[in-house]
Amino acid sequence: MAAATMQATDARVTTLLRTERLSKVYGEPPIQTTVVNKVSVEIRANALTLLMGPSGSGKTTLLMMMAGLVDVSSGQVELFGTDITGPEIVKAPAIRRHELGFIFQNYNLFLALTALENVAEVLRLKGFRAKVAYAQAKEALEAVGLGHRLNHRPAKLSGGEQQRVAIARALAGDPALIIGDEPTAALDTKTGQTITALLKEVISPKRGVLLVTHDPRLEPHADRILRIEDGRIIADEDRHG
Amino acid sequence: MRRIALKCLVFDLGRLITSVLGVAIATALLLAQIGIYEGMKVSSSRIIRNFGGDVWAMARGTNVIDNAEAISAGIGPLVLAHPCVREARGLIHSMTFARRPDGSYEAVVLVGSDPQGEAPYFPWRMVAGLPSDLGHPMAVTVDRLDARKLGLPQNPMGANFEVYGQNAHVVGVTRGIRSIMVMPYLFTSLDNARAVLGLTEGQVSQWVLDLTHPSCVPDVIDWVERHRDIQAFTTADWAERTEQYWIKESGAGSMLGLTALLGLVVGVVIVGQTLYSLTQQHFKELAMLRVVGANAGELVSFVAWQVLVIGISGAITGTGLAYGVGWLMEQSDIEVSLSDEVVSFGLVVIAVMCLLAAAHSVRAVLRIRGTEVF
Repeated sequence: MAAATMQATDARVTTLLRTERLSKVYGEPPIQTTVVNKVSVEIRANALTLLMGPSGSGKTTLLMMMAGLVDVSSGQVELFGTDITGPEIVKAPAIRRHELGFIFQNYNLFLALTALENVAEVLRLKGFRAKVAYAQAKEALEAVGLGHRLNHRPAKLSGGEQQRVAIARALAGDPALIIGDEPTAALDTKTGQTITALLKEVISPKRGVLLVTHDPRLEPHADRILRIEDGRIIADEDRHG
Repeated sequence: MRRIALKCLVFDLGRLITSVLGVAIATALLLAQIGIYEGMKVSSSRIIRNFGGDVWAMARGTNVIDNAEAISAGIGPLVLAHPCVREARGLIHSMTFARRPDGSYEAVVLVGSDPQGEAPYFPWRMVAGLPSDLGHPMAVTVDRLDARKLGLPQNPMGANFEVYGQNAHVVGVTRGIRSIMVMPYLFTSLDNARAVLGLTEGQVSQWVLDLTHPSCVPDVIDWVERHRDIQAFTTADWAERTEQYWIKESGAGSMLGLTALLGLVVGVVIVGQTLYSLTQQHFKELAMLRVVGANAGELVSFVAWQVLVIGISGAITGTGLAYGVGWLMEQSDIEVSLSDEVVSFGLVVIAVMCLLAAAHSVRAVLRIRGTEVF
């Protein structure tokens, strides 16, 4: 499905997500707050893109609009070539289910489930048969170096290990875009570096990673950095020129 | 989602046990209350239903079998005169007093009828003696449950005691025939009952008519009621009237209904609260599932699976408890009727209770937005 819906801009670079003059305004006139202001960006495969900005800059709101979790006030979002703005937002859940993987600051793992179950059960929710889901979950956990911790519950795992389970959960099912919200914020420097390196490893010509962060330690690993302030993109730095 | 829901449920064992106990207690309480209610109904009309017949005739104004006064001896030949009446059986049903060996008195219900050697046997449930033995002078039966109450040995067969100044002799023992007024039933013959109560030959408190054909019932009732002092009902109507009297007019039905309702409210609150806290604990994870594309129905199924397990486990435990309570009460004066209908009805009510308890959690789950996880 990913291949069918993705827009190819050239042979090597694939646009996964595109926004056009995207804005989000809260409140009614005369008291209104513009949280995201006319943002036009493209998120491409084969790149680790950082969306950086201070707290309150609008980066999380922008991310939520990009994923079709929040209605836009104006502008347009295209996810894998599908418009998800306005009434079309109803298409977003199906696209998220099949094309996106998510990583959160607080991992959001089910404490009652083992690492393997945390990954596999989300896959089952995505429509995978139990046997396939568990096989793919095992593979994803092994890929993030947790092959020996499959049957451990989150309480028995360190913060870094829990975030790896979350990454495995995001990777399982082979989504084309991994979206992370402050994935290293709750981790120490060393673990944060390991997690970032891991996320860097998963990018491919068919897959991109978009991380929202205000952690400057991630910058050296980024292929591209979008800087946001007061709801506007103030810089778009492509690290590969 | 089933696996996630059930694993989360079992993981929090304390809350699971609390919820299951909540449903179990509500189920047991509800079934016991309905069982007592049904038991009351059954015991209030037991004499009528077991004595059978097609039409019952009694003094006009009688509202319940327990209040029936004696009717004159001339009524017997009158009711028998209708061509549809195959047989008229007299019944005396009256409260009187028995004297215990220690000299104290105990209120009893004396039931007099001519011994029946064929079905329907009356008295029924005899564990010692025969109905025909009641033809002997001042022969009575005593129920096994009432022997102690009357100051008689545990096996009262052959014992003598005083009934309203007459020396009665126990020739039969019944098992589990209890009156709604919790008074011992003493079965005897019509002649013996008349002797105790001072009635004249031919006097009874009701005539029970067996008809040649059921289609005659309206005619016969009409015929009997031409006598201005007599009223008549079909057996089913008379039983129903007696039941309604005791359930409604005595206030016992409302009291039991109120207790059952309280049990349900307690059940809804306990199960609702624990289920909600179980769900609330997982709001973040459920929001995460919303983000990855789970729809509202899938999130609701998280609550549905949990309430299903809690409901079924609680209902099974509660039904077991109710049967235990029923068995214990069988040994006392209170009758608990846990028929298949009572249990089925109770379980349907419990299912509705669980749905009500789940409503709060379902509403909360439906309000979960993916944005809550960021």
